[in-house]
Amino acid sequence: MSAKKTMLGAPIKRKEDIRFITGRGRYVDDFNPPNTVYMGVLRSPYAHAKINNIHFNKEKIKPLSILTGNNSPLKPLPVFINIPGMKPYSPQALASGKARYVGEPVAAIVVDSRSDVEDALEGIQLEYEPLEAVVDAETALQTGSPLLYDEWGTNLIVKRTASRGDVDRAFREAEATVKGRFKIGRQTAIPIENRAVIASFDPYSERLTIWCTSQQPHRTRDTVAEAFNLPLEKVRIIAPDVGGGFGVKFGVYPEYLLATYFTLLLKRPVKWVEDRREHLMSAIHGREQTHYFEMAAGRDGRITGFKDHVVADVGSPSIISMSPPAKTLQLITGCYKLENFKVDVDFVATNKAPFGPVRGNGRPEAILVVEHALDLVAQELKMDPVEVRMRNFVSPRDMPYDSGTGLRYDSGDFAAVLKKACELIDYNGLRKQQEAQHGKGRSIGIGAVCYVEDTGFGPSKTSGRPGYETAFIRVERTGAVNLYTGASPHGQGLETTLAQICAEELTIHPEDVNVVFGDTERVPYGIGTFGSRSAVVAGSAALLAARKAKEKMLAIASHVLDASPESMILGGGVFMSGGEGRSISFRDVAKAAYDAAGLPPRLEAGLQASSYFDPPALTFSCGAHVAVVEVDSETGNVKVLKYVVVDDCGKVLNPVVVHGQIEGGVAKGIGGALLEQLKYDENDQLLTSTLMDYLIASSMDVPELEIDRLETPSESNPLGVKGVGEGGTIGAVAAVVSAVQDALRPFGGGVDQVPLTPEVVWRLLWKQTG
Amino acid sequence: MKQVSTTINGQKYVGNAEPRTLLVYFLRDELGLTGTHIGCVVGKCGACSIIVDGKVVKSCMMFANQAEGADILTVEGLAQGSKLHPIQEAFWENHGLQCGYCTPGMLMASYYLLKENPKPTEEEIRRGIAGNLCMCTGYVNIVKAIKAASEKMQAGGQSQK
Repeated sequence: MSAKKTMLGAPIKRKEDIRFITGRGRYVDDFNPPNTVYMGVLRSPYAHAKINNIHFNKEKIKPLSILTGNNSPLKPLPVFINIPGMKPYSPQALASGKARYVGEPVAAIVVDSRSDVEDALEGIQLEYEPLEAVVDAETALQTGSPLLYDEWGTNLIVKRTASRGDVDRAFREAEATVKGRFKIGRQTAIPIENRAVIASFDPYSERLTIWCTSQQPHRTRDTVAEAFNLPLEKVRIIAPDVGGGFGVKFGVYPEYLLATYFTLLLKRPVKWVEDRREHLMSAIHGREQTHYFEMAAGRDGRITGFKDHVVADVGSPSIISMSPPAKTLQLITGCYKLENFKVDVDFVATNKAPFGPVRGNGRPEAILVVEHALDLVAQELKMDPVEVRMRNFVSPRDMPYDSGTGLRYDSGDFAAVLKKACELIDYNGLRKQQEAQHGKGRSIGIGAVCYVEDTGFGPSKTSGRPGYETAFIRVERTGAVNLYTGASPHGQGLETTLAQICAEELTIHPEDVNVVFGDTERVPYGIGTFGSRSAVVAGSAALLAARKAKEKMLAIASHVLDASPESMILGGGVFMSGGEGRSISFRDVAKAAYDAAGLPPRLEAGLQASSYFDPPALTFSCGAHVAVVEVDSETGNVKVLKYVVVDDCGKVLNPVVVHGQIEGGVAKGIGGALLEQLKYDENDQLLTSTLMDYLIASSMDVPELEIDRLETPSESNPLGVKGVGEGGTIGAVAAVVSAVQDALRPFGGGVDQVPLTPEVVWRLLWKQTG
Repeated sequence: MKQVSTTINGQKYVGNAEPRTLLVYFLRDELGLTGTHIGCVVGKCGACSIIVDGKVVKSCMMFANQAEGADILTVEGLAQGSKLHPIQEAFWENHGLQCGYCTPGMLMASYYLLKENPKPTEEEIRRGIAGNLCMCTGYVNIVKAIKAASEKMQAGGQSQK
């Protein structure tokens, strides 16, 4: 066991990669228990319809079993995110009475072979009575609109407001004002692996095992056990390798409960693997909001007031639909010190797929709008947009800063990250070049924005939900370490970073630390991987558990060496007694712990420890993104030419992993700004139901990035880290939009929506509407 | 059901396939070669990319029966025992993967790209993998990895199998 003091912060190659690059990753669909049957889900072809009788076509394959919403015994899914005062609803696993969106599960079947699923589904016909539907949130708010829930008498689920100061006065006295409408399109996360589940009930042991594509196995276990009145200890959830999540694999889906229902009934393993069409029509959608914003400023560029009315289209509400708009409201003031603002959010139900978190979860929307408003102010005042930002930032002296929206920014130097990003990309030089090229047929735009983000979800006390994360460490007899984490990684590289954390604390090599995750029977109770929290909360738990194990090892070592405990130090995998010059290896101490005979009195045998780390507060990452784009005035196509990120996510555990998170996040943001769009037509049908229609960024759309960083350690956790999983996306949507707006300035700007598809940009260039 | 016999990663495989069975399902469900993944089944995402008779193919775009007698290379056949292929090494060393789901297809597309064009420019690399989607990496490190693999293979004088 070699010793390396530079483990944390070192660019170590990932431990998990070997299995992935050799084809030995194990994803849910790779498991095939014997005797498996296959589940298919019949989905509503109507956005809004009463469901009446069911018919079978006898010529088609007869399913082994069938369940429809109208005869389903399943309990509703528990709503995970509740907003005070919101209208009550109970999401069903299968629609009963009526269907509320195209793609909503209305019946489920099981058959013997995977290839029979589609045929068997064709043999079931439900009688529908189509109802008038509403797929636009603003139309849904009008009197006389079709209602998703008649008993509500409205489609407005809840309205939330945040305000500070005297915004009316600010606008009355403003020297300059801007206003606009900004429409953020409906988008989704697109992990390359679709959702999948295998539920397997063993009648002999009466144990239920479920493999599923989950970001939070324990919560899934609790929900399933409760839904079927099963003893918790008899339910095991395994989230093996998961092929990306980005928010859509956060919650418990109806299909997981349906597969469970069938395995309990048939006593055979039940497998469901969705196709991309099902994914696009029924997995979580996100983003969609329309903002009506106004900003007031003084001639000097100081922002004096901000108003925003947000209409958030949450579709047919489900278990976490309220989360993104609530987060938008919290982060709407971005990096800026706004003394007077008032922001309202309408959470509106429509006949579209359920809403929920998509990488950034409401934050990219907030940052996009406040940054766009600042661009308009700069344009109005004929000031440089970077200068306007510099005059309005919350400064490090203001920290901790109460945003007035329910957040308390703990740290961050927004001016410093933006300054550094501008230097890196040579912002002033670019502006001169842009000026020189003006009128020569090339439309170059520069967008420089800043974002701030709450990361490291917790704490339990203020969030009202479990916000801790867990670690259990066992130093084995050989000195090798097993670390069991409650987090559930699906691409974030936690097997490496958690190993680095333990290795650093125990002065051993990361290769000697095996990280176990994603199995409720093996790992301690976990909250899961989401909201840029794993390194922060699970990482801290790993550190604290390792520290406890170390303390016990120090006690054993001092006893074995007959040295005073105070004189003992651990370094390079060796316990040394400072004064006496005696030493014992890490491995020999581990062995002594299990051999037991030589242990100090009153010390139990074995070597294990655990931690439930609950952060005292959220911790805030920030960063600046500068994008340079070229707009093709013939086609409206936007190409990102250059891109710089300066990020501050606190202490960096592994720069390779951190940069990877930022790069992937930026690609998602570029896709979100330019390409991604879930589109419903006037008949409420989803037009974008394959990856041919729903475009995500390819290798041709994302430029090479230049990434640099500042490191302002967090004071909310012992590692000093802040989350980095979402910042790339949060900054990138705003930066690309800002750059396109800048490129279009000679044409009057006018950017008012995302995605900025070639058609949208072309219309802005030539001011055609409709 | 029809019998399909193929050579995969240098080994003979015989299995049964319905006329409608796609090659990717045949590989995964019939032969148990689960390294090749499924992401869209419309030939867009590239997670199922493999090499069939020397050409990169999206295996969701081919019926199993069309692979009768074919010589196939999948991700499982890239390494020689415990010796990684230079492309695999380069992906590992350059953090060219995160969740690992698109990775097998990405590796096979890279394999074909470097076979056809051993010293690609960045632009050629980007074009070469434009049919393979990745939601984790932003492609930056994948492009770097392919460049590094190209250099490794030049330096090692390594000819591809």
